[in-house]
Amino acid sequence: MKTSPLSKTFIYGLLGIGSILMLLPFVWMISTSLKSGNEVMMMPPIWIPETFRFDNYVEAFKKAPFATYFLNSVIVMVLSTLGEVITTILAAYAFSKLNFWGKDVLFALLVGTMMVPGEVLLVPNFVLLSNLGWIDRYEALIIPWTASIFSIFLLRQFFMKIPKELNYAARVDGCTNFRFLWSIMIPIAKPAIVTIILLKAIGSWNAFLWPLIVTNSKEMRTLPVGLTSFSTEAGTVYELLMAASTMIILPMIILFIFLQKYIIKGIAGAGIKG
Amino acid sequence: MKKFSLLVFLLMVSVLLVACGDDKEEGNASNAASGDKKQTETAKTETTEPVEIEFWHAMNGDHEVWLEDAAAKFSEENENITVKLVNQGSYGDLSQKLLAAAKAKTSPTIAQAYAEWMTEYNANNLVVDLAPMINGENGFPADASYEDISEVFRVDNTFGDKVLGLPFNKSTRVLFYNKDYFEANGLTAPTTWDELAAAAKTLTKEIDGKQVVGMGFENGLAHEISMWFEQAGGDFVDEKEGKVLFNTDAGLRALTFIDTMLKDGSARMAGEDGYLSGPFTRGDVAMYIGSSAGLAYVAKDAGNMNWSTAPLPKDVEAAAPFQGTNITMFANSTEAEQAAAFEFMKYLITPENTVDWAKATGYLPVRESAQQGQDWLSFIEENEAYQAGNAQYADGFIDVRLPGSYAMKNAISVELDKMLFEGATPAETLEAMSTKAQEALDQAK
Repeated sequence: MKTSPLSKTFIYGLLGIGSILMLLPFVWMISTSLKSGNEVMMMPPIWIPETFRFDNYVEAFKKAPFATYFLNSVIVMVLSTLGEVITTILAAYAFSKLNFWGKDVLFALLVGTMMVPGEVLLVPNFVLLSNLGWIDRYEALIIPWTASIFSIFLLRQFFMKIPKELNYAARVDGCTNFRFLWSIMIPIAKPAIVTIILLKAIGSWNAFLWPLIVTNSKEMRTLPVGLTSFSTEAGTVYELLMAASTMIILPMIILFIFLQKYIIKGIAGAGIKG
Repeated sequence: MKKFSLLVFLLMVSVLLVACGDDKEEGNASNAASGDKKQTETAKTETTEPVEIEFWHAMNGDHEVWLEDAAAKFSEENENITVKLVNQGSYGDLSQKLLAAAKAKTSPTIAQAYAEWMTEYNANNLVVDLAPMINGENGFPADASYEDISEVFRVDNTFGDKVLGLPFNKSTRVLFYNKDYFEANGLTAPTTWDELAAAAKTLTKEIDGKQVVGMGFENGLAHEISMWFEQAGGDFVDEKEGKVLFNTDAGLRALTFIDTMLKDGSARMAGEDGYLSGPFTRGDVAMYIGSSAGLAYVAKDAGNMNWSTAPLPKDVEAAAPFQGTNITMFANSTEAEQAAAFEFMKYLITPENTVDWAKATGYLPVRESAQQGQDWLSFIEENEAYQAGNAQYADGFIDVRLPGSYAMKNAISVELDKMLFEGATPAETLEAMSTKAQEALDQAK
């Protein structure tokens, strides 16, 4: 199918507008991070500050031990993502390709838990972790997040689209379940798995309430918690907040650039024939 | 169809399980509170042993820096006591975390808390009555007595015959005004509502090429609405009876006053700006009523603009709300921890420290001797903006502390916003506010 130049212009124009809309908040963030306190809320808005105040970055980083927070964020993100990927792959395989008693009931029960809003569980979960003695330790930050029903659901649907015949053929050749999962299913499902990794990594990187609730010492806190240093009772110091946010968001942007090929596949893949 | 009904059934079961699970937790928590109390009573006091106390707070930025310095100095003077400061984010986060910790029996030794929260803690026996310590041999020294703390703050912490906290970061509302604008138009800071309305009208015009609005109201106007009712000569809530009292002519007068200014354009809400310190320091509004805790914030951004504060304008009466948190002590701590924490609580509000804190932050000194002391008086002499707060103690009143007062405030806020943002009339708003507020209070009874 050939697209006419006119419709091509239209499509590119639309995509261009879309990308500007997506980029605008980032530009605003960076521009704000270089402003003086007075310029932040100025009406009409100022896009380019009068003087670029790079000092904001220095000042922002003095407000909290961001190096420690950064390290913690990385540790928590890597380990909880790793944990989630492992549990997700195993569970999704079991729910899609294995037959065992009560499989559908169990799955319905798990999916049912997605209906319970997280806020309701905050206090009971805190009490549980407190009884386990995990408060203010990495265990509390990581272990509760090493399984996600949503990811299992996502990957199960992906696995179900992989034809049974592959499984039969592998069995005939004497392939074990684990070998089949490792050598055939995972490579096929790579885009879906990368999507899960990415969603998890971003979620973990941005998580605020949970890390705040389960930690007490500065040594255990993560970057988003550090951002509260800039909010005071009488208002927020936006220029410093944005300076810190710019630095914090950088790793996520780098991750996105490297993995974007997979994300697009993973999301678009849902519509591709099996 | 069969599968679907199975799914529905399972969902119901899981919801039930969750609901039951929660109930159990609550039961445990209240049992726990009484259990802990017993533990405390049997604990031995060993003042010579090193003690660590944990203080949960919501102080950020420069406020936190001051607190860290104070804790370090305190530990130097009291070698056996280590104060572990734990920043728990905003007040909302702190409140949530205190709730979770109370249920898990892992409350800190002390924490910042609004009197409203303390009402709840008291009902669940979570906090310690400080009265025995205050009156005991390690109570307040004679030159910095408990009675020296301003009455309005002592009342805030007194629940029946119990004293459940000591004041820490206390603020009041003051009128911030742009001196340049006022002087250029031959005006002085308004002292009455009528003067306020007139000044707002005069100053709502183009000044130096900028469209200025005379008066600004913070978005949280609902939280200070009691102040307007009191100033109009009305009452807010009867704490003893739990009855809403503001559906009167005075109440209507207050709402009409605000509504008229908003309608004729001589006043605006903070709106998208969040807080008025921004529009004020940019010169977009000529005056606004806001927290004295915002002083340092306004000073930071004001640049070379001339500004100051004035006591709140009055109508029939002068009335100034005093707000901010106290420090309360939790019951699941040992006697040694409690004794150490009490020392720290006293330390934070010694006459010297409460003045030092006030200078650094814009909060108020909580002691009368400090408010009238040379140190503070010469400071406010030099820093005019800090004077207004000091002039208002006599007219001070505190927030309602009934169970359900949080829900009541939310209900009031919802109804008031209809007038502020959606054009509802003052009369219907007052009626709705009163009904909904009473409902909220009745529900908590």
